[in-house]
Amino acid sequence: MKTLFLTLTIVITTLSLLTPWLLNGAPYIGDSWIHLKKAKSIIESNRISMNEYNDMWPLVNLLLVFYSNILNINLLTATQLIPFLVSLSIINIYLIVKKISNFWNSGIAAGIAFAFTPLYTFITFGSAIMKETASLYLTTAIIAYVISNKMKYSCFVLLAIGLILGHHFASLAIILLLITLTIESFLEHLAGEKNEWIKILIATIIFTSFAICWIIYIILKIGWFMPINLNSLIMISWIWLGSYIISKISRIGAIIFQLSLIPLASLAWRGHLHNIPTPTIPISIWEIRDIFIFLIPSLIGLANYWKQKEVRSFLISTSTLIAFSLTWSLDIEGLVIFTKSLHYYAIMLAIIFGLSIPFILKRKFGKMISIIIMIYLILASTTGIALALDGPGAYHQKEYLQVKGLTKILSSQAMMDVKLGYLAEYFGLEYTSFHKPKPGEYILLTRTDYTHGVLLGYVWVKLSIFLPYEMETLCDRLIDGSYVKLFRTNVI
Amino acid sequence: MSFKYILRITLRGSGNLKKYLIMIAIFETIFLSLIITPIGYLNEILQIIPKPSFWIDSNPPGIEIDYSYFKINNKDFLIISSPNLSNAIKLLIGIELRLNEISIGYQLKGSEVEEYLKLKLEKINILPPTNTFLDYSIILEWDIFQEFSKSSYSKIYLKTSSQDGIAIPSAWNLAKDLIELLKFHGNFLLISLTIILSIICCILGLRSTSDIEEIIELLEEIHIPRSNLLLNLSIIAICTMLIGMLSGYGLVSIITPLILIYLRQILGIPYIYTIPSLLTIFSTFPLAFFSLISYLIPIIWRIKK
Repeated sequence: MKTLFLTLTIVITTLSLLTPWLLNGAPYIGDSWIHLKKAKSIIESNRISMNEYNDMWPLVNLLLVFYSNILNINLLTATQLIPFLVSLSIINIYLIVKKISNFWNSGIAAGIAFAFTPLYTFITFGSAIMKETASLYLTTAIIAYVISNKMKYSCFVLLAIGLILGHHFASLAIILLLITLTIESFLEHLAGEKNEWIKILIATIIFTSFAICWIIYIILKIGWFMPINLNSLIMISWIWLGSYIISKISRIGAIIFQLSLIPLASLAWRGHLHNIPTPTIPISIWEIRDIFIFLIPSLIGLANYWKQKEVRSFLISTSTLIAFSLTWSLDIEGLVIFTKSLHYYAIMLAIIFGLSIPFILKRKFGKMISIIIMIYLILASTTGIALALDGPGAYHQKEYLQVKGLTKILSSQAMMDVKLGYLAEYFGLEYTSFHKPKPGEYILLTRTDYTHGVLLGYVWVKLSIFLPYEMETLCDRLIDGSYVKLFRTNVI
Repeated sequence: MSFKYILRITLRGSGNLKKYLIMIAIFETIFLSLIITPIGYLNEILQIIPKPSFWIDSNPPGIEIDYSYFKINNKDFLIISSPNLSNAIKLLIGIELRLNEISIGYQLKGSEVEEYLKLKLEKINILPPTNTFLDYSIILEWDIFQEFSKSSYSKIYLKTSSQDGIAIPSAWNLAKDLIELLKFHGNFLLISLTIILSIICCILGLRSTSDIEEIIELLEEIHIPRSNLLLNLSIIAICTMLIGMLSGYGLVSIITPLILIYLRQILGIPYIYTIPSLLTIFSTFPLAFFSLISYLIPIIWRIKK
């Protein structure tokens, strides 16, 4: 029964994560094109170069090369192995929750909650071909392994090296978790309980030393790359301490803390908190209802399992990241850190949601209620999935093919936004960032430039600011594809 | 060995050491929130408002600046001088310049002014660009200025905010005064909170004597002397105090910004938050230290007895 449910959960998650590929026919998020180009160059040159930011965490590039070679498929198709790996992290989440609660159905519920959380659209993360996504399986695997009480250093070292070569933020999340877990285990040991706190301490030291060594190597190679500095590291330590005290002192404190953090996280995800223009649709009353349906069982799960040191450690480490991102700044820098933090916060929320299942099952009609909640979450998330599929980060096969077609006819530099810039970089088209057009300049536009706006870094600007309609009508319309349009200015 | 034993007992006891820790953390949080947040706001305002370094008056006191215009090829050029030239220039542009008897601004380099002055005086100094009106001016030593201007010149006086007790009426000064005021209230608050916290900790110390009796009995059974207990308890209490202080600081770092974000969302109050300086921890040390002494005195009294 549990194998069937687990398989079903993995299948549903895989299908939902593959929807951008299945429906739009192209990989999700611009980063995909960067890594595709990197993987292509590894295959062509037979060597891994370590020259710039995207080379420094080579896990995603190597996975693409590996699967493309082993399965003998083209790189574009191989990209979909990354969302597939993400869906397999459901197994790790299942193991984590089962270890904490001893209930297999809690593990299944946590898996579903992770993939269909209404707090944010999981496919915007899980379907993307990025360093973070490629590291998610290892992130969850390390968590499951550390709390399993069967940890062997050799295996841990292998997992740690994999993750450190995967992504820096995932490493930071794991370091915070391991530190918290070590302190919690040590305090438990002081209170007279037997546990493997020394083993966790050694694991923390191993992981942190490897991560620091790798970061130093990267800084020596490419210079300072992180959006954070010493000041922010001090700040994160204080916030960690604050989160620790609140979550440790009492169950009520931990619940109130989460009650104050979750609404802020929802608002921030939907663009209501940061001071930057993003083309997100305002949060509707129905979505608030969905969040409540998710939130109430989650808080019940937290209340029931708060005493478990693993639960508190997840809670403290992930809440620290979210609170730090909000405190650090409410502009672009803050948004970047927030988006990354949310992925790990979502794991924690899914875990505590899953932990509510034993409580619900003990009630009258508990089985039915829990099944209804699961189905409801899956159905409710279709709104988010639909938004993401047509969102600014989604690429379409036609869009990709139309830009590819341009490589044969466009030899001059064209002006385009960041979204098309990723594609142009991949195909080797010469491009420049969006600005007020000058006479005789080529402008490449895509559908989202009209529907969402022009992407400049992380900021979306209305197309009409750069190219008013009257000005657009005066341009030569050289290519008028269903997605991609090429203009040449002449009377400006 | 005895340290670990005593630590376990104090942690497991009726919870007075834990209460003491929580008490310090809460008081630290209250104190730091009340002090840091308004000062943080005002400090941010000070960053936004341009700092007025001087103001101009036609009457003394102040640094005298003399100016006049010099005509070359029917064009007027501004000449500036002062009996205290280097100070006056420093006040005007905020940086010190190396001045000769005759200096000309960067923008006058290669102009008719430079040619004319070179013909007359041979050696002139060209100043680096300052992005101020000085780039278009001739700056002369005071005695040379007297010759050039032929006694027909105007005088103004530059006054700094601190000079002769004169304060420039500006938002910057207002914010600065408010910071001073808050610092004063901070000290007042520190004293009041220290007294309240010390009283509470003294009561906690008195209450924990029942725990102490229990610990003494247990220790006597395993032949650990009372002096050892006192030493270890003091170490534990000092560590607890430090943990309490740091915890308070950590709580402030998380509670204050979250409350400010909520205030921004609900009431539209702008969100400004900067991390308080590490020195703030040390400023709260007396508060924690007095509470520690108040906590330990009843315990020591009990052990001695």
